[in-house]
Amino acid sequence: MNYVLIKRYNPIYDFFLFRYLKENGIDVNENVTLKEVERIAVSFQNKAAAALGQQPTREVGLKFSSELPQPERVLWYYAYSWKRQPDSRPSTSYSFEGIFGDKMPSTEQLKELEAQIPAGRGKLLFSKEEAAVEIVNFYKRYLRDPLRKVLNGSSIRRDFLKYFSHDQMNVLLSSPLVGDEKRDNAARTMAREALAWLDAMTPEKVVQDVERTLQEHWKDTEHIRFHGDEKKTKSCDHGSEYVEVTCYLNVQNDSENVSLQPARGYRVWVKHNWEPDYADVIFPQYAVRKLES
Amino acid sequence: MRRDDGTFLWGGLTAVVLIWIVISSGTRLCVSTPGTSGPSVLSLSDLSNLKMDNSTLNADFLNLTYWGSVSRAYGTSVVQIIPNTVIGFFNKSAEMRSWAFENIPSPPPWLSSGIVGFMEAQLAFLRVKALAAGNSTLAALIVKSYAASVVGYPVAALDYISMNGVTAIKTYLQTGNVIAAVCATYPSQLGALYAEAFNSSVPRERRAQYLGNALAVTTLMVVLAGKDGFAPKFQDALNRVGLANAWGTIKPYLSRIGSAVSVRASMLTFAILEKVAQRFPQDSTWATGLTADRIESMVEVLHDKGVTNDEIQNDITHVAQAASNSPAEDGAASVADAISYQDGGGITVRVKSQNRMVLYADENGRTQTISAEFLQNHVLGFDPEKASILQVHYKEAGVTVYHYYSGSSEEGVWTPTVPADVAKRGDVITISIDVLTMEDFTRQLPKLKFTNEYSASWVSDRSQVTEYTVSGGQLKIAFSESPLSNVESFEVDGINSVLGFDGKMTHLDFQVLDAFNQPREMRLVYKGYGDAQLRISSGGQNLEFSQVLLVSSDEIRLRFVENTGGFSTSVATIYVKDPSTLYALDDMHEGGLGSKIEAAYKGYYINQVNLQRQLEYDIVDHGGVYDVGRIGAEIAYTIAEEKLGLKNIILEEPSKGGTDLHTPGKTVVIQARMLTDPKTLTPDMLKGTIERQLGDLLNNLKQDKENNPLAQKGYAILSYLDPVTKIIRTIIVELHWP
Repeated sequence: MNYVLIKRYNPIYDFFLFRYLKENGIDVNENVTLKEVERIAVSFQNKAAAALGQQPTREVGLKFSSELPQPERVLWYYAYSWKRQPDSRPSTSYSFEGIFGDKMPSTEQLKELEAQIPAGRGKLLFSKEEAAVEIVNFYKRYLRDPLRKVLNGSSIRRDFLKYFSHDQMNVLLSSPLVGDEKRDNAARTMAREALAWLDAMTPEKVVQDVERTLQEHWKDTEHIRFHGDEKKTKSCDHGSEYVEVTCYLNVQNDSENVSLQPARGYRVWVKHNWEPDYADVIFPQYAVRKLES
Repeated sequence: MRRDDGTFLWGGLTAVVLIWIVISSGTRLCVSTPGTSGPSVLSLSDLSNLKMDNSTLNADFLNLTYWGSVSRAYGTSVVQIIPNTVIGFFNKSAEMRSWAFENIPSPPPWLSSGIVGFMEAQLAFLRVKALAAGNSTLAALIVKSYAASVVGYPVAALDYISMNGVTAIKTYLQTGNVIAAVCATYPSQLGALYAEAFNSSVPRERRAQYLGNALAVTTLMVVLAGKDGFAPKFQDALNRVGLANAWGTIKPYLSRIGSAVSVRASMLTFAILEKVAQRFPQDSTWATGLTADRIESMVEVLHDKGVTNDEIQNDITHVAQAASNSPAEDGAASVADAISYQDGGGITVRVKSQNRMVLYADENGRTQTISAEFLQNHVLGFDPEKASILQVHYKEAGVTVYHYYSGSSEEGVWTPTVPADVAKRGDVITISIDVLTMEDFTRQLPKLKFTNEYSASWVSDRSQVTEYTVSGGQLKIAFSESPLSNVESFEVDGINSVLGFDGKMTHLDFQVLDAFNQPREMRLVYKGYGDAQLRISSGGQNLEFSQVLLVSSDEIRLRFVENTGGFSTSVATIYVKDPSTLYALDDMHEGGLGSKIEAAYKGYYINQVNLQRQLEYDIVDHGGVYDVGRIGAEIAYTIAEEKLGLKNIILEEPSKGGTDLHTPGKTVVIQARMLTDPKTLTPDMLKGTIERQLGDLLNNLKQDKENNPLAQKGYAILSYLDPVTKIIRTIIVELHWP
């Protein structure tokens, strides 16, 4: 079975986004600064506020966003996202989808768009092999290297569970071991196992996991279950050693969102809960589309 | 403040004297010649080459009127020069004359009759000889011979008996000082003076004055350095009393004391030094130098304080008693410092290398520092065994500086470092000292002003301290601020206030208790002058402080915008009131979770969380990640208190890391989060977003459990803003750890 993958974060989205804004009379380009884009977004908000007879605002906020026409809303969301994570441009699929009425274009449309990208600036559609390389790099940078550093420390017990799988976490938490030294030794043993697992990771192994989980998902539709009381959406999860596939199926419009991401490590780089986490930028996430042929 | 080398004071006096002579003479008395700036400036050899080939001019030496003018100028010079020599002391002090008679085997005749009369007699003798010559050329030769009689006299002898005068003049000449160049007439320009006196182009009256000045200097040189002169006799006498070696060190002090108070004061000091030298012969130069210095310090302080000369002399007498009785070589010096401090309210100190403060330092670098004993005796509340902050009042600079005394580790001495912007190396400064109390600290602390220069959100634009109040260990800081949520003034209450020193700065540490009785370390930093700072601890394991750039209150939250390095800022929040008053909750229902969560944990949901103030609406609407995160934590707090039945919940500062909220003892730990990004909360995205975020929170809870083994329950409380309805909903997942 063949698939194409669409990244959650892809700087090339900005190329299309700013082209779209320009085509719709909003005079900004890819070199725009956060301050400038905020200023423009606030001016849009205040135009909407004035139309509603309300006080103007000084900062980009949610209040009038739903009142904005789509092109202005696209820019507004870009400013809103950027402000919340100011060290990285919000070149996410959320922004990109705004160009197309908040829906990711079809694979055929994406191919056509990809053909318009200037040489050397990137692409829109990725293979599972390319995704595997990025996933391996993520694991190495954000799990393997920091874990190795933690293991070299005198005590590893504070803030280390994030490097482990759920099973490992549960094993450790249910362990009857008492005493700092014993628990620390147990954690070290587990951390060394995790490190060995990370060291053994290769793109080829990740590709195998990707194929297995996707095949598992697409072999039937019975496994996709309703959740919640309203019975509007169905979902399923397919875990593997290295990756995880989740699917959300909107029963009403029969739309299916299948996503692929690493099996662990979400927000693993975040030091404090309430700081910008850049999860969409750092954590590799892909929408997966099945190709018919 | 004065300089340490003594040159300036004496030089200043000399200059004043000489300028006075210039003014009073109304003539071009001071002559500038090219030779005045060379190293041979004190050479007297040119006196032997005086030209006097003008018969008209020579005729003046037979003229009584001319000699009358010469006599007046001679007398003026004598009156000005004598006080600046040891002779001046002998001239004015009967005690010094007694000392001289006692210690000089064959004292000069003028010692009993008086030097002024003696010198006038010398001029009279010369005048009589000249007038009696009957021949103008012969009369002129007689005068010239007298002038030339001092050729070859050792200038060092003059230096020895002058109160540092020759050295001072030499210094001025070599440095090219204008006043010195114009007015230095003694004795280096003696030749020039004589040359002018014999210059026919100079008007007669002026020539007479030049000659009078020149003859006065010449006569003094004869008296001092001539055959059977006074200088060697004096040196010999000093040798007898043990002061010969120390003389060069102590005579500037005697000069200054004599000038500032009286010759008697100087004589009394001399007697003390004589006693000290005799008692400590092995170390007499040090001991006498130290004693002289501290007596002069005392004199200077008392004089500036307005104490009368008689009283100062009386105080010197008290020092004399100590000089006789104290077993320590610094005994007299210590008494002088004690009197200085008690009666004058201060002591003078010196600033030495690395701006170290010392009482005295000799030319070899040996120093006398302020002793702990002195501080104990004179500084109220000082305990030499305990560390304390001392406030030193620098009189000349007009500032107070806080210095640290480390306690018994100081080993009995205290050598603080003087700030470079208060005094520099070589300065002699007057100080007084007090133990710094918290009351002093807060009274002297500038009222801090803050502005929101970094455009932090949800704080007022500016705030200002209006009052510091300290009572016991309680510190209250009153603030005013530009209105924020109708708040225009507020107070910060500190407990456990204590003064400290971090190696560089003095600080007042205190703790601010939040509404959950959790302390936050804060610090006011001030060095006694200049700028002050308010600092706040990061709240982590290490007690590190960041500068507070703005303090603001919205009645519930006390917010501190802090500088976290470079141009980076962050906001720390202390809850001064229970934040649950800000939120109204709908009923909590069980269930409502997706299958993935439901399978493993018990869950609840609240369909609507209502905000009670506009401020919180604004924060949710356009707040940053931190601000919205705080709203999420406050909602979690309210739910924990009102729906989960938890008591005494503690809401942590996020920068501390670890659990966001917990009960005392951390038997229940809570992770909280709030989401507002509309794109991730659309119906299609909502489930995935919530599952992922809850999964992350649950992982964090597991870590909390690992870090807090006593934890029995954990809650992940996730709030989100529905992008369509703009309603805040909350999902609660409960974990049990048996």
